[in-house]
Amino acid sequence: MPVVLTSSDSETFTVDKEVAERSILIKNMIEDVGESDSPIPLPNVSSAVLKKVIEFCDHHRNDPIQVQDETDDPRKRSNDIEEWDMKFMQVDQEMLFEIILAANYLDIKTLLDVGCTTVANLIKGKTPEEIRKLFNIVNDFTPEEEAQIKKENEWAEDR
Amino acid sequence: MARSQDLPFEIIYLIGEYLDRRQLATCAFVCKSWNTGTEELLWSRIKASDLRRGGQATVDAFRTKGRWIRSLVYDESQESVQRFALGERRYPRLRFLTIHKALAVDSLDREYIKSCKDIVQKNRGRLESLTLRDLILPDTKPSSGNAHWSPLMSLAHPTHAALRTLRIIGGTLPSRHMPSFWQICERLEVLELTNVDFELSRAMVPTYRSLAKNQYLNSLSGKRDQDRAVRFPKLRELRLVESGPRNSVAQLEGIIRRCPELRTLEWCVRSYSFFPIRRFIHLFTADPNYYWPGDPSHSISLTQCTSKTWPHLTSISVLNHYGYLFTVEEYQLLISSVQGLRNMHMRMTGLIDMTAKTLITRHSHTLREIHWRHVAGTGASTWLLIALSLCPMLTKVECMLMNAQELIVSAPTWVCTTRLKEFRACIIVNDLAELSSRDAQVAGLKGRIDEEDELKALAEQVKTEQCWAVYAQLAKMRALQILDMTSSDASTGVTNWYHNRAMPLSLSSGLCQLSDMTELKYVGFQGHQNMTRLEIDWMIKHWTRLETLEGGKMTTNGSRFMNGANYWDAGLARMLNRHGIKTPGSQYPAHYDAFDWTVPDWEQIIEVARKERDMMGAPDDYGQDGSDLYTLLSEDIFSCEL
Repeated sequence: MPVVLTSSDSETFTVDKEVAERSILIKNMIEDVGESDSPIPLPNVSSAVLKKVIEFCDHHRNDPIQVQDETDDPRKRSNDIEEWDMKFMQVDQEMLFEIILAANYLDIKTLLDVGCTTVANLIKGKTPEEIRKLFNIVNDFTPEEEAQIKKENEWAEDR
Repeated sequence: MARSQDLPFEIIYLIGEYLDRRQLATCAFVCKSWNTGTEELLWSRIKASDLRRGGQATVDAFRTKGRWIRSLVYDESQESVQRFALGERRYPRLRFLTIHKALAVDSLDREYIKSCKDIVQKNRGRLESLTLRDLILPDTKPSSGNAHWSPLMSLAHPTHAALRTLRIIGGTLPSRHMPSFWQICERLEVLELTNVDFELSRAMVPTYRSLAKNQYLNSLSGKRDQDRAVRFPKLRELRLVESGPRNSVAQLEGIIRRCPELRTLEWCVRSYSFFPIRRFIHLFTADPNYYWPGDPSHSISLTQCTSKTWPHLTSISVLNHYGYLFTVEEYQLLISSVQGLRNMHMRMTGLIDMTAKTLITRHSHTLREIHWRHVAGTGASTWLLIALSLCPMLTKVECMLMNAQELIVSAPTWVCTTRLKEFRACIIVNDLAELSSRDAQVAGLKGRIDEEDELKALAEQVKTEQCWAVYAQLAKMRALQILDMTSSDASTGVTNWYHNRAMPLSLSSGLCQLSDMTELKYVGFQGHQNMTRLEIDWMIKHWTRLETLEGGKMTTNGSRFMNGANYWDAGLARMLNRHGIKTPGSQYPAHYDAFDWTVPDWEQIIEVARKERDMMGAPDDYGQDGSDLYTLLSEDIFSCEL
């Protein structure tokens, strides 16, 4: 049975239930409301972003749900992205962050992982100044604060 | 418009999960919200020795930020333990604790032992995993006033109920600590014992006489036979490596057999132990044909079982150091009797097509590891390449030799490329130089230098092309942590022939394509390599997690033996060592300080390497139709006429 989704700018998208349920938020909504024809409003997602999100979910519709083992290291080891996902993520930065926010809001773990890995790969090997420039961030530290952080984190900076 | 500054903390945290510690420390400088987002990750995992570098500001920061610690390692850094007062507080998030040199004797610093003791006691109820390295417990009761502490006796207390994982690496467990140990074992889901000496009590391994007596008493009192007691009701993962009683039958009956919920077993017996193959197969499959009542000299009664002892066991590794253990028929029986096998690692007498086919096709969706290192010949590598194209879950593969051309041809169909973590195989490039000169000789070309040189040049070109194509495929395995291109253990007798045909570790042979393999921890190489300063600098720059670079004529690794030293340029090895990369088993010739320590220009070096490659004329898409090129070239050589 298809599901109708409405974006923040009132555009409607009709997708397969299987595809929509890659989003845990939507899945729970469908479970709570029961089978219904009325569209599901997604006030936090614009149509351009929703289109991308649906494209991703459609491509990954048959993926198994991943279970991650808990280890002593909360950091994930692999920075690897599949080729399709990598191409999918070749968007401008604004869109990239919009997708990550949407994935977080819609609770689509695989998309969130791919988004965060993409950003992490952009950050690698860059200095703080380069990162600020890349993401258009303003440095809101005073020089004293910066020196303080440098001292506090001194232990972590070596290889 | 969303800018990264507007990203909520939790998203910055998620991004941070993919960064290493140095990168996290960099992100902390970007802006305030990034600082908050990365703080928890940065402080979540701490080794006492890391903190040594921190000054007073770090000590002050630790007071508040210590609350993020999830994993803490006591690695004998007594200075940090004291300066940061590590043992004197509770860490609300602490789950994983590792203690090095957990010696319960006076010889070590009392403050250190006291701190270890305090941290375990102050955080009880939280600890889920404890690792003890070099655990030496006293056999006798301690005299008062000494810094004695038995981690096992502390942990046996019911307040440590959250503990699910215990690893002891190196040590002895005297008998007076064993009751506590067994008590802890009842709660465990994961247990690792590596090089830990202990004896099973009489109750665990009864003699015939005591067994008969017990059975008589039990039949009177209606009690269950003590010998059948389940000691590990929850254990899912057991690693028993050269530990426990010397008698491997006692290990099997007294420990492994008592874990009905086992999913993963890694069992390595001491090299001199007799190994009860038939008994293991009987317990595993419940096949009555393999029932063996035991040898009275073992003083162990071996009861027959009617159902599988470990119904959920799907990952099995059973090894000793010498010789072949299982016949290929036994291996076949074992892999056929499991559903959803993940790993079956044992030495067998050989590999036949039927066995390889059964393993790969029957378990294609669950198989995670293939270990065919000891199987001689290239038949195994052909099956391994088929497995790489058929089994999407594979993470570790090994075989002895792998033909470069076969690898290149099969590579486009691999389904697990990005998942592979360990790849061990000696990749053999076609030595057409050898072939061509022989053929030239046969064809009467000997002496006619022009043609011979031409053939050699052609062969050299093919070799370079092959290397570029192989490295191009290796470069796709971006999750790879272990790349071991050494050939095998000494028992299979590897000759110099393989050394001459090993993959060259040089940037101009295509090694430069591996620059994104940042997960690499171990690289092993084969043959005499002419590595230069360029390669070494390049490795240090790109392989940031590399811990070991090992190779040479033959190498030692795990159960494999060393045969001949690894000759290195001492300066090169010292550069690696200075960057925390080990070069074990190496010997250094005398030309020590003829060494240039300046940093080279990277872009230029890669550019030169590429140009060299292009001059050789290797097409970029060689991997696609390399087979045709190879056939063409071979024909060229064979049809060479006067």
